[in-house]
Amino acid sequence: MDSRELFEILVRENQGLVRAFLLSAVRDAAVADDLLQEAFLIAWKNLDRYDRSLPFGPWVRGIAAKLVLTERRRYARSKVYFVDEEAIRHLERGNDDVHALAGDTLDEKLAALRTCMDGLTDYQRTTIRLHYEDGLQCKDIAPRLGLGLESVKKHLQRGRAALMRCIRGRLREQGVGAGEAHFRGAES
Amino acid sequence: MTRSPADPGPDETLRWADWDETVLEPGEEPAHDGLPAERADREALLDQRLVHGLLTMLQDSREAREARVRRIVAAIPARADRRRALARPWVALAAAAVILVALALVFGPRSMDRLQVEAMLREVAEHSFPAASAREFLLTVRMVQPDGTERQTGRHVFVCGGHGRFRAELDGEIVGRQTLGSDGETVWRESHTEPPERISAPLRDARRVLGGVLPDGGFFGCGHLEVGRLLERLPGAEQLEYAGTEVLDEGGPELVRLEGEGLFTVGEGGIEHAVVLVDEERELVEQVELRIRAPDGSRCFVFVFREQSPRPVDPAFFARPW
Repeated sequence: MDSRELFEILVRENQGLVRAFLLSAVRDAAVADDLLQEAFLIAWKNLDRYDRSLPFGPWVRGIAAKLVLTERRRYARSKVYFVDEEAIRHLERGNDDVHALAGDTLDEKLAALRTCMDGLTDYQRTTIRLHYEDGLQCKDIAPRLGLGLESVKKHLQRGRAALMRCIRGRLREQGVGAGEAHFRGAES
Repeated sequence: MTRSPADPGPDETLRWADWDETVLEPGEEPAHDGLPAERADREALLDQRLVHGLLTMLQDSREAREARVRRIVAAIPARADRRRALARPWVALAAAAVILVALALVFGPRSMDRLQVEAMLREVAEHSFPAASAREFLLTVRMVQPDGTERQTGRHVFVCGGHGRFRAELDGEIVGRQTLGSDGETVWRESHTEPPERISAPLRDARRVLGGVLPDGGFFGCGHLEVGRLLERLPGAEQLEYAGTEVLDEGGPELVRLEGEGLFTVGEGGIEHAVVLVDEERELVEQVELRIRAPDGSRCFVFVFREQSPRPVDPAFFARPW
């Protein structure tokens, strides 16, 4: 197996979490995918700088974070809606915490998130499913559920907040220090 | 009173909701830019984005994921190309030297080693310029406003002819509009005022003529671009990292992008961010963009140096115009 094939395995294993980070940081999913490709390309070209004692995914995620900030600087005056440095750090820490969830693969780590869905109210769970699984906009969800647009948005937001709380709980159960430190501020 | 399941609950715990872009309809603009002022609200909002990213990613189909992996792998060049730009010493040297020019322009040569700078100038004047061409640089200066936006405050053109010859057309809020230069023997300066202020002197008195216009006598004799030894004097230049490629002008060459953070510190200021664009084929540093904060931390500027097309050396161009 040559280095290119090994790198492909690393891409396959890590692109999910890096992409999740970019989707958190960048408004446009197409831009997020472009940055994802660029981040891995840069990782490839800088492989000899990669400290192999550290996990590969967060290293590429760090490259992606730099790209986001660069793009933000470049388009600062054109309202492209990239998050700022403080926000990037927060998202990076959160992404690290997801990385720290129990499980060898991303699917195993995200099993916690799927399980947490069971703890949502019916409206929260249905709103999240319609929005993310079926790709419906809030205005399309509202008539289906017989709710106003604002109520749909609030169910969505409260559902996501509940999922975040649930993930924090999982991290605490695992005794993940970084996660506790990160989330303590958000809970106060 | 019991709340209906359809009731999403009170609004006060969603103080950040107006900033949440993830629930906007296509084409809808958020009610506020940026992030809320309260830290707890900011973090709650960012947690929303975090979960939004995870949930969006979770919907990725196997086919879409595979297609993405294939696209990434297909974009990877042959291993021999990796960090090709950084592997060439001249790139790091040239980048370091251009950064040095910017540092000297902003902080004055005292921020480094003045003797070293002056020795460098002599060396460059004697060796580095082909007699038949001059190099022209455009420097734009933008001031970073408190809200993060940038406002252009200066646009200056420098032409370096080697052997002590240079000419600068300055147009900025601090320096005003003036032209200055040297033919290698006489240094001169002319303001674009009415009446014009004109001053000239032998090159050894350059500091007196150019003082107040360029830092410490305006050593902007150019040509610092090839001075290798200075790399060692500039902590941080070696930290520039490959950051992809980009094209500056439509139809122009693909340039290698090198980037670095916190390359140089002076007091509370220094180079916060540097981007160097390199044309590998022509072995030229095409553009250097530096975000520099003043030593007291108060003001921040973005300097963009861009190399223009070479021009023939015409001695009259560098000579005193009057």
